[in-house]
Amino acid sequence: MARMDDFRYAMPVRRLNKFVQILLALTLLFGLNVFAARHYLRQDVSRHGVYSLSPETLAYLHTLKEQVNVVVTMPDDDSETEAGRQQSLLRRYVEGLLTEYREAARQGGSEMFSVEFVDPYRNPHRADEVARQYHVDQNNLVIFSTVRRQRVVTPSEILDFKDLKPVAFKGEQAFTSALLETSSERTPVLYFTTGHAEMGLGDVTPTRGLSLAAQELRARNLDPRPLDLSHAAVPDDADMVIVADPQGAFLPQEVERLREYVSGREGRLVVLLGAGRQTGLEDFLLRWGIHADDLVVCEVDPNYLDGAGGTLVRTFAEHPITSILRRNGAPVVASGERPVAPGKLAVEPGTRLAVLMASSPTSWADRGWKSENPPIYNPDTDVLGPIPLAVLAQTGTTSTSGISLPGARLLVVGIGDLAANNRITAFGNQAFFFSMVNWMLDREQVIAIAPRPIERYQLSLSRESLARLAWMLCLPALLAVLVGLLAALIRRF
Amino acid sequence: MRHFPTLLRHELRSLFFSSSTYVAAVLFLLLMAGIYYLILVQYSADEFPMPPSEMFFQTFWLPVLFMVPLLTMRSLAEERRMHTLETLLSAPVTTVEVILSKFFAAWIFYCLLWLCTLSFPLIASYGSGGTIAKGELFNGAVYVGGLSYVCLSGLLFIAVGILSSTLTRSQLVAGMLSFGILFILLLGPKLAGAQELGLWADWLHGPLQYLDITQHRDSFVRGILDTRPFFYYLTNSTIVLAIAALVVESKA
Repeated sequence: MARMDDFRYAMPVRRLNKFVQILLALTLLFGLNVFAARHYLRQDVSRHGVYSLSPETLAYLHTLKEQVNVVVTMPDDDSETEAGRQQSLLRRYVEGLLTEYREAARQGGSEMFSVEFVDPYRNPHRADEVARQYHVDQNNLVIFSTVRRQRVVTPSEILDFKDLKPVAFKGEQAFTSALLETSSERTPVLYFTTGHAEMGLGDVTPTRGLSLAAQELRARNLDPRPLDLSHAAVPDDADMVIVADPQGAFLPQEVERLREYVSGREGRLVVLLGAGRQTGLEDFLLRWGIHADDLVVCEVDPNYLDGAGGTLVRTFAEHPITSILRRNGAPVVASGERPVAPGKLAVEPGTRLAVLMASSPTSWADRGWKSENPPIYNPDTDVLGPIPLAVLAQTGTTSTSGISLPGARLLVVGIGDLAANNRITAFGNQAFFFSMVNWMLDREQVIAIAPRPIERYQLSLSRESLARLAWMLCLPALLAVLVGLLAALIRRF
Repeated sequence: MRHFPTLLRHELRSLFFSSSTYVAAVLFLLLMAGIYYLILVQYSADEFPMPPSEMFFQTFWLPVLFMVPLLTMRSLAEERRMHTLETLLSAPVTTVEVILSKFFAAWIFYCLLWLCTLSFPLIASYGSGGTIAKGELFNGAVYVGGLSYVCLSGLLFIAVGILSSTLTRSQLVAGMLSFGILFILLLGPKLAGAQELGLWADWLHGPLQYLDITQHRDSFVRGILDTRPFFYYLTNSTIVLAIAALVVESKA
């Protein structure tokens, strides 16, 4: 008798055979799933393509050259409060969109985009690590980082509100901008002039310091540096020059260097001017058609006063720089504003002027402010509001085919303390300052990605309707009972 | 597979004439009606960022946990306990045909039950006295996506139930085993993904996302077609059924 015909041997071998088959089946299962996880297709077939990414975003994701890590520090708040619902909505949209970013990067053959969601309440240790690693001290952030830089996207950049309710989701615009900023090869350099008692980048004092603004600029992958114009011209690597509330006058050769930078090299210059100072820049500004007279803007309307000695600027013209303030109805907090008005004639050829913001209609520009305490409106000498407070002058054209040819840009803001440490924490000041910087640097290039409308669902059901529905919804179960009884009857007979 | 249609007809007939099937159906429909009603109450009190139908499908895992064991625990465990499996396999049918007929009968019933939930938005629209348009409650895209997902994922869940039923002679043990495996399948990856895995387990994030059933469901409901869930459910259910067939053969 062959050994395998022996029952004692055949049974264990048969069992071993089955066991090996099951093991092989599990191995095959594992292998197939690993393969499927790496090679797949994904298509948005929703009616409005809500989760489809724009071609620009896809192009950037498919050409990533270095690892981009995204950390989202949003708690999964399921509380019944309005804040909890908004939190939940924000996380839902952000999660859905970033998942599409990750999938799009993978489908483009790049494994260089990773997303991590950290719930600060459920994973406090990881949240602490993230806070330390990225130097952030609040939740609800989307942090994009590469080896060299990082960019923090805040909820205000992601959602648009109307009547305190979110109406549009701008996540793709914000995330693609952040992606570009963190993965771009060069960091834009912003020079802040020194030598005229300007606000200092390293100064931490509340009213004359720019340390917070400098910190925020670095967080946005910008490189703020001091610039002494008395020794040398504006460096070649300058992307923008900012004159932050000078207390002393610029020397003629310094003004000439600024002029050469703006007019000769089509540079970008921002001048923040407080009231009551002769800066030596007045004639230079006049060449661009901008009047910055030595007046002080006085506000008396309580709606335009912040109760702490500051005034609130609430009137903004339609412009990419001011659009975020207009949408959110946020004011800019200021003190000691100086009128900055567009003139009729500009010496620089092809100059276009635009007023960006103005004081209230009840305010006035006081000429006798040095002698009046408190200031009084004098109809003969003073100018009645609204008083222009920021004027943009630019050259360059946009062709009929939509192609924009860059030119020089000069923005003069009559709010010296716009970005001071005690002001930059205000939403309006921060929004204006960084929108201004982005626009001046042409960093709103992906602004064409349209926001997605946020849909909200609610049903109008009365208490009586709900009570009636409680019974009506049991009808399918009741029907199942009847069919079951019928089946039992059929079976019996 | 010549005898498969005959076996399937037989299984469906016995399923439709079994009282436990109707107990499961009534329990399922009552639970889903309760969930749907609570959703209506919530939506009448407040605004939500997703349609009611999408929120309804978010709770799909709850009935799966008890429905699938109820539908499948009898299938092979009972045959083995009554010693009818040996008789059945002595007929000119293969183990695969037996397994597949029991599997598809349970799956068809499972899908039919879910199709019954389509009546909820219609009832709610009718019962609201005209204050709600049918379109507000019956979001076609969400229902197509949601039901497609339920049917697709049902393949794996029912296969797991069938496998559990092959492993024991006791219906109760089969049901509990099925419940346990389904619990791990449904909630395991989600719960594990929410934990602090630490640096050493960073590599686990990818596999956990791949296995996370809630992400599959969200994709379907939102109208995103992804080949991975299709592959995951089809291959896994096939292999689980193959293992069930091997188990039956080894124990027959």
